[in-house]
Amino acid sequence: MKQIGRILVNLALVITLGCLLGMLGFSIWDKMPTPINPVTWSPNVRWIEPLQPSYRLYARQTLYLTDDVQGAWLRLSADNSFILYVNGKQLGRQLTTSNSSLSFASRNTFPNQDINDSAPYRVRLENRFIGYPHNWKQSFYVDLSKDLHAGKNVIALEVQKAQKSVRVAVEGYIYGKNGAKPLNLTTGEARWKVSTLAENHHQISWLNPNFPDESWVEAKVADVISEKTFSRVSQTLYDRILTGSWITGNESNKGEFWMQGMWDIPQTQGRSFIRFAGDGEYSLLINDHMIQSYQSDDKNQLHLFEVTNLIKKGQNILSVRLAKPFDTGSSIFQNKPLSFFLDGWLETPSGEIVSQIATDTNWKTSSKPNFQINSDALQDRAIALNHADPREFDRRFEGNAYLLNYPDFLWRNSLWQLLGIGLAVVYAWLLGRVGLGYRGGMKTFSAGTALMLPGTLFLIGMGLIKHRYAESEQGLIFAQPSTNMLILLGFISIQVFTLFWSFWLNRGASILDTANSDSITHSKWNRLSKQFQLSSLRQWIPLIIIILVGFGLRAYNLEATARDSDENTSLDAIRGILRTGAPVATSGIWYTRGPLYHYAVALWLKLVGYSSENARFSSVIFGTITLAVAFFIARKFTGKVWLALLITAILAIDPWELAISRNTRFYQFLQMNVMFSFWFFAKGFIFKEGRTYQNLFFVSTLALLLTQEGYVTLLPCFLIGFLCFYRPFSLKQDWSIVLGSIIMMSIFAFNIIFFLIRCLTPPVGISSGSSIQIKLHLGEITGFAEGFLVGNSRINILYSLFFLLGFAYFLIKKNGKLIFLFSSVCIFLLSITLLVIQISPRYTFGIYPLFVILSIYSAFCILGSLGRSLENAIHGLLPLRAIALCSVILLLASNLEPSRVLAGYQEALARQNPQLFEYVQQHLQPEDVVVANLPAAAAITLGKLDYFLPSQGILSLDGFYLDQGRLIDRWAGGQVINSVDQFIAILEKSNRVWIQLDDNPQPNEPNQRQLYDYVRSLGHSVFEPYGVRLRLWQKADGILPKEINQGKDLGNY
Amino acid sequence: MKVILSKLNWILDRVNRQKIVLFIGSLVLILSARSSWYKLPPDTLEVFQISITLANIYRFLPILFAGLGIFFSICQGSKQALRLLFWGGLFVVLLFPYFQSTWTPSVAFVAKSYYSQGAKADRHVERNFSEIQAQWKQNIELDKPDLPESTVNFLIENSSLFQASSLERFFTDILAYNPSFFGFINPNWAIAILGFFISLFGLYLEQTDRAVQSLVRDMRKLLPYLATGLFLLGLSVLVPNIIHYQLNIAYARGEYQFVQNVSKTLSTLYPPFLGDEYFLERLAKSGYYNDQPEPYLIEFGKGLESYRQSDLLNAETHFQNSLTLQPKSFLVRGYLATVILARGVNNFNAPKRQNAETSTDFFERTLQIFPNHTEALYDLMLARAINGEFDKSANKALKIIQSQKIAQRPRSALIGQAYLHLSWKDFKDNNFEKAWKRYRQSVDDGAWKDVIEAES
Repeated sequence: MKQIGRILVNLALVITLGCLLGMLGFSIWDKMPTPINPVTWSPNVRWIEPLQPSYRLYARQTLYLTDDVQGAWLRLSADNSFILYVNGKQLGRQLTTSNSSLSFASRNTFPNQDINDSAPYRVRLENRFIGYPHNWKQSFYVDLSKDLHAGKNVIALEVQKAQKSVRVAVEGYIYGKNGAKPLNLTTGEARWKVSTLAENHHQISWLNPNFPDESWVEAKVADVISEKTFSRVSQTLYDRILTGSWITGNESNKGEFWMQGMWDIPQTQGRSFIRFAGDGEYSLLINDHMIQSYQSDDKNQLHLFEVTNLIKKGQNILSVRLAKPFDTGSSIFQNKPLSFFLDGWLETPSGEIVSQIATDTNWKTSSKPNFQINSDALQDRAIALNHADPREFDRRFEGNAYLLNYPDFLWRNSLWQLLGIGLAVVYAWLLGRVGLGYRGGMKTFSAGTALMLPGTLFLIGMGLIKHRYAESEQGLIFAQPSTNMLILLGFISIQVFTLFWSFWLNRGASILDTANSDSITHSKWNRLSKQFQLSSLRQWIPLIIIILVGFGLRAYNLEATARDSDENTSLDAIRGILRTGAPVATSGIWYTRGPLYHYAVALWLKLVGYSSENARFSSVIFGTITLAVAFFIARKFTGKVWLALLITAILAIDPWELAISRNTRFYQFLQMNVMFSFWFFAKGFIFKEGRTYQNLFFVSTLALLLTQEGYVTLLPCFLIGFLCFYRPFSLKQDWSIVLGSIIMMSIFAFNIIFFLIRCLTPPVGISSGSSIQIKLHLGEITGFAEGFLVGNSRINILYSLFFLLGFAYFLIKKNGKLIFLFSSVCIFLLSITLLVIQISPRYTFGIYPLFVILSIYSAFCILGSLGRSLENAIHGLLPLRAIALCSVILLLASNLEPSRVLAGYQEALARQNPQLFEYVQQHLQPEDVVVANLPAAAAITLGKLDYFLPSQGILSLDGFYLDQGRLIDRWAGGQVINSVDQFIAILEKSNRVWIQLDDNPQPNEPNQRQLYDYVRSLGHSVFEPYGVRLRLWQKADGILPKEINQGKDLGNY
Repeated sequence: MKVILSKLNWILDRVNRQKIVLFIGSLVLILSARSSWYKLPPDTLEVFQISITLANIYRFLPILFAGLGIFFSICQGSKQALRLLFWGGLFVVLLFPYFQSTWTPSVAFVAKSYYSQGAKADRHVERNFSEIQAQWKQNIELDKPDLPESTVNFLIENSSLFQASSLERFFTDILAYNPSFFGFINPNWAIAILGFFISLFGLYLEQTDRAVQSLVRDMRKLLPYLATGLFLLGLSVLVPNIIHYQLNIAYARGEYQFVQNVSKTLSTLYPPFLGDEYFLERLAKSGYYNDQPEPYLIEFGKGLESYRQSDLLNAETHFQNSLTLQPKSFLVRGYLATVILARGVNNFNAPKRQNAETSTDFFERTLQIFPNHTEALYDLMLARAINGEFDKSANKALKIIQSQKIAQRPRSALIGQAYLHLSWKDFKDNNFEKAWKRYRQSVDDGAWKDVIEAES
């Protein structure tokens, strides 16, 4: 059986290698992915900045055009996020301002301008303590032709950064008629006026063309762009004048016809692009590859495609089918011919255009479906109508057209992979037979596979590092055109080196003699392993160092990031406990979640004094204790001290762990208790080390249940563990277990009943999010698993991969105790999915260290076992086990991103709400009214809020309550308002109104959009830290904005 | 105390934990067969001429296994065969959503439509709560309805799909484990899965120290079948997609006969295409250009063209003609309902608000075409209240509550508003006590059950 297992493993390795080689071959020699290239900025382009350091930069350029434009475009790089407006219309944005950032240049609204064609994982944003990605390294292209017109035009940019060093670089041109000199938009050359506040004149916003910007100053011109910025888009797509004409042909009696054009390509070096638009229903094929078909009339849409992978050297055939609707009589095409426009070109690597195509009278048309080359049916020439006018088009870059041809992709990729597998099998056999002189089918094959292991691990490692590389700016290197070739060369080099090494070791000694060397290698390895198996005394020194480092990272500069809403919620409840003995929020509502945590922190603050930092410090302590418990669990289950130390070290610098253990919220306390529960459960029920551990298990489990009720989903795991491992059970002897369970569940039940009674009834009639959140349901079943297994970080994928492989590995190894831990993670995920309605990855945070422990242990066991097995196959000729283990360490190290973790102290993203309310507090006058989008911080800093303006006008989850007929927010007790009429009523009875606003995008729904715009044009902006902004409206200014009252100020019945 | 403990120990000696677990698993399996695993309103099933027989048949499977479980918790037998049988049963049960949504696309279509309609109505409440809550809501705007979604869940758009990040779609699109299909599933299906897991756990528990070995041995036996099953499952969605793609090319080349023939075969072998607008429109046009028109499809195509040109009146006429020619076409029925509702909403949102009264006709007609259309019911409830017809508004509110009762996760905001509108009716009738109860129901979901029962 073992022999079959070894054969299967060898086969799996060779197939994996073959597939990876096949994929490399496909991307190098067959269909190359769209490369990312450095942007060639004009030498005159400069960064522009505000005059004073600021988190925000508002920039305007006013243009007076004497005539309609023939073309206009710009490209920009913003440090670190931006919104672009032209004449008040938003043309695109790249914006990340809350808590954390998913990835490099993510959340942009420019389709197909990402750095590669990765389909992103659908994960929810989670708070991580990590430096933000430097989004300015990616440049975006925008076409402006459609949005500029004769007369006054304004291009406006809003740029924001988490540090006071915001900057932006723009290069762009506007082309007039008759080849006149283009108008320059470039920063450093053109005049950009800037401000650090979103100002408005009466109700005219700063981005409106009519806003008077005379008082704005000119931007500070900074350095030239010396750093490289990247884009996959070719500038030519935007700056090249449209060259073709609209053409038409003779329709059949049913209103359809075909067209055909020839495109001669003298060479295939370079990139090919096409731009096209058409009437009615139409489709375009190149060399019988479908580019795209369009069902409805979208004549004003210019489709931009890269077609490099679809064209060939020589003559290429472009075929178009156009058809009128069924009901021609009633359509706009009644008396109008169908028409089509296309132009295209091939661009050499140096940027030279060597081959062009455009729709003209050389195109052939036919009213019959015949695409045969030189067919007689294609005698009719196309009729040219008029030149394409750039102003009539909306341009949309739709990416690499080859991606749409998935059957061809699958077919070719499969062929390449089969070829790769074939090559790998032959190569393995040759290596074993010729290289090492082995005889005998499987022995030869195994020996060859063993020699290929370093190269195979290299390719697997590169694949794993490349995976999700679009999320990391360091990953930009993988999108370079030559990267795949370099990876292949790297593989070949490793193989050559391995061969030479093995030949050198093998020189002069027969294979049979290597049995001695085998035993020598093993003894060396055992000696090395023993050195790693630290004595009981020696293990404490590195452990203490790791824990101290972990503590230091958690405790250092606790004020570095602003408090988030959840933190403010807990802090408010803790303050209520200190004040009244009960977790009463500023609003007067009881916050009954996590009572144990809130009372514990209240006690801590009573001892050390109330402050936000001291409250955070309690989480630092819980986080540090968690590290120690994780070490003990890892050591208990793996039996390897060095591995337990490594796992503890990784957890010590994990960005998710760091974020939560610096946060005043119950998740870290919960995680500590979960880890204690597993530890005590293992000792009390699996290893049966004494009744004390059993009792401690009940205490820690009760603690976790009183910290987050949803973790009742963990109980089935313990029940299963108990049924599996605790044998025999005697009620007489084990009565304490029953008693412990009953006491634990009774206290928990009391907590739940109290929670249900004491919490005010949420108004279900207003929001579905306010209904009960824990019940058996079937909904979005992948939400929790994806949040946990995929996560916000690339390394989560590695953990998940090794976790799943480890599950299978330890199942084969029949390690029941570890299988219990693996099953616990899976059962927990399943039960939380079925029982908890609100999906958030942080709800699974409690079990995260267990997941990391199992993943890392699996990685070392699997790779170690694989290395040892293959090492035996070549009689210890090469230290394959050591190589395999080193590759795991390298893989983990290259995905941990320690530099970004350290950058987190300066760059971790967090909305600066507390600072904003401190500003309000300093300037607040007795009769002032405060309105806020995000009320939690107001509760802490101001101790009150008059009105709560739900973000984007929508209420969700448990953020609001009915209190004596008033609908209020649960934090600061602000009355909920959601219409302009209600807002006007507030202005009418107030002298000064402070308005705190978040940076959420403008809603689509008209009512919400009206309110969104209205509040952003009230009064004037006074303070704008990162992620939030503050406006002040004063009656004394003499302006009461007028809107027609629509009777929406009546509020609740 | 000692006597009780010794008696309990005596019982425990004879009834071991594995037998208890297996027995509990069997009971859970029986519990899961209490009612049909999929539920839709009966009048909707009748109008759409669809049945949920599969869901009714399916639930007998756990009963069979429950019997086996109970029998073997008493008697001895070949444990490995039993375990493998339970694994097989579990996999078949796990595939229930796949079979239901793939082979009865009309059921998936209706469920998907109700889900999106409910979500839209719910969101409308959340965005406009202060206006909806107010009796004076003359300036409220209703949301325009969207066309129903395609029943082809797993439509491949480009080769980016073949990446690890698309693994989620295996569950949501191929196995149909998505919120819209789950919208009307009975939790008994999940309970059946739980029952299988508990029973299997009991069976492995019996192996005491050899449980993991037994599991590994079983997995070795199951793995080839499981791998083959997954491969076939993948193939069953990949091949139709590739054919669909090739049909696009054939259509662009004018090979209409080929498109017609293959489309008909494809829709028989992979029925979800019967609920796909693009597929049916292409088939309609192929027939038209090939001089073999399918009248109901041509009318459907004309309706689509009119809809795209915002000519709702013409679109309605064509969709109605199409439905008359082919009353079983669930997609056409869904489109017709949407167009009529859209006309009603346009009429309602027009600047002169006296249109609220005439809009109700459109909403009523929508409900005749598509019974229990959630958006139509909600719009009608609001429009009747605006017209001062609180009795009729309350009727629709009651209908909303009843239709939401069969949903797996009722929409709280929608139901809350329905109770509020019931409350107004009682208030107008001077039945203040009942009005207060109704009002309580609009803010407290704990009060729903009692009064709903009192109503019915």
